[in-house]
Order: sequence, then C-alpha cells, then structure tokens
Amino acid sequence: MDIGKSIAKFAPDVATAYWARNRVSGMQDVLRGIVDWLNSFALHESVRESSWAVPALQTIHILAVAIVFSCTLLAALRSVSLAGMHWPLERWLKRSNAWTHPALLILLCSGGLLTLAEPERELLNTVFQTKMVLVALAVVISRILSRSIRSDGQDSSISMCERILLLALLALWAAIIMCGRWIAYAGS
Amino acid sequence: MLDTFLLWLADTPLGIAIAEDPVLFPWLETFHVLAVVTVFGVMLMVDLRLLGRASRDYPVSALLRSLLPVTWIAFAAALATGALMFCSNPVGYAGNSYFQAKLALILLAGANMSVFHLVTAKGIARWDLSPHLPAAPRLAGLLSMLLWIGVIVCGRWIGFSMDPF
Repeated sequence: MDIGKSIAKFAPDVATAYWARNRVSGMQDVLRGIVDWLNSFALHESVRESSWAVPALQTIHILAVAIVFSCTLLAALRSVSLAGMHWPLERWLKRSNAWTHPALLILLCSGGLLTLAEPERELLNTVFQTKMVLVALAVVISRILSRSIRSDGQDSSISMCERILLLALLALWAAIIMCGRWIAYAGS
Repeated sequence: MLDTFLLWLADTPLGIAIAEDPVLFPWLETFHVLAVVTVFGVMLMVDLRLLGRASRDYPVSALLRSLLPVTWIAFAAALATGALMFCSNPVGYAGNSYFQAKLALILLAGANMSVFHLVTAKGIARWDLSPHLPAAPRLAGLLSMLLWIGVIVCGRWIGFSMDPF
C-alpha cells in the first residue's frame, strides 16, 4: 500500500503539512538557485564590496518611498477632508499617480541593486517576501482606485468603498515600510 | 558633565530595556523611519511649491496651513522614537559623527523654517497665488529640501558607522 495514501487517509493534517512543506522547500530551492545566480554577477561583488554603495542605495530607496507614502497620505487625508481642501480629491490622486510612478521605478531599481548586492539577505528572507506580496497588492489597489475615481466624474463625491480602499492603501504602504526595516532583524 | 549624563542615561531601566529587548529597538526604529519619511515627503510638497516646481496653482498660505500640522505631528513622533533609541546607547550615539551631523542639520532646518515664518512669510500676500515665487521663499524651499535629504543620509549612515558596544 502506498505510504503517502496511508498518511493521507489516516492523518490528513500530516499529509497536508508534508505537501505544503515540500511546496515551500521547492520554492526555497528556486530562490536559492536565483541567489546563487545573482552571486555570480561581477556587479554583485562591486556593490557588496563598496563601503558606500549599499547605504547610498538604501538612502535613495528611503527618499523614494517617502514620496509614495506622503502622496498616498495626502490623498487619504483629503478623502476625509482633513487636509488639502483647495483641490478636489481627484486632483490629489492625479498628482499622487504622477509622482508615485517614477518613485516606484526608483524603488524597483534601487531595490533591485540592493538585492543583487545581498541576495540572501533579501530573497531568502520571509519578511522581504511578505513585503513583495504587499507591494504587489498596493499596486493592484492603486490601479483599481484610479480607475474607480476616474469613472466617477468630477462632480460626484468619493464613495465609502473608495475611501476604504484609499485608507487600506495607506495602511499597506505603512506595512511595507515597516517590513523594509524588519528585514534587518527577522525573517532569515 | 555631558559624559556623566550619558552614562547615567545608559544605566536607567528605560535605557537598559531598549538596549536589551530584542524587539523594542527594531519597533522604535520602524516607527522612526515611518515618521521621518512622512516629515520629508510632506515637507517636500511644500518645498516644491516654494520652488515653483509643483502645485503651482495651490495658494502657498493654504498649502502651509494644510501640510505643516502633518509635518509637526510626524516630527514629534520622529523626535520621541529617536530620543528613546538614543537612550539605548547614549555614549555611542553622542560620539558618532553622523549622529552629530544629523542633529546639526535638523537644527539648521529649524532655523531655516524660523527665518521663513518670521521674516520671509511676512510678504506672503504678494506671492501667495503666484506660480513662481521671489528669491527668498525659493531659497527657503531649496535649503529645506537639501537639509532634510542630508538628515536622511546621515540617519542611514549612523547605522553603518556605529561602533559595536
């Protein structure tokens, strides 16, 4: 009788855990492979060995995230009429998008170089992986929100759903920033 | 006398707790980063308006009224979390040249803001609605932006240059 089927029949939790562990360790193997590949780049050595490249890249990363976070914050404050009342919310969101897109590109480039310099520190770190999932979620929510507000038209007010999405986006970016700091302390 | 105070601070229950607790310092640092990016990001909107680079149709006085309270709240949070982190290793931080530079830059940013509010902004009625401002407010915006970038640069370098204790 097949051992696997026996386990699945008599201890489904164990079987599920074993299956999940295999999937996770499979993913870790893929990441390990990517880490080894990145470690083979000459640029990896240059950035890693330099005394100023990593802190400089981190600084650029922080400045860029400040732009994204503050734009989202202002839009969120406007949505609850706490700040920026001279412009309608749509204008704040349009401004937010205009600044956020290049900032996200800078985040991607600086983050990419930091990962290239220290692939193990990032790719094999569960806090970093969580951060990436949250970033993807933030981008998706951002797009949904933009489309929703654009289709509302200028004279209609923001719906409760849109307001909640905007506040959720703000909370997401705060969580992303927190994960960013915690990579240094946990997850490996 | 400063050394006596720093050594005393390091030995307080608070200083020891933050130095030894495995999660307290990371959380303080995390909220410090969140507060600092808020100060910088929101201040940048004001600075870019003063420089005539963005939000050119937003009245300067209205923008200041809206955004400065946000920066003040964020600054208070940054100051509080920073002070608590300082308690974990007062001698180390006080002796770190990047930390000293960071404090100096913050003081300069404060001085720049004071000059703007007490002197430059007296004439705000003349350029409140202008897309492009006179030299004095433009200079204030430029200095503010450069000083706060300097604060963030120094802040990041503190972590890379602290002596282990």
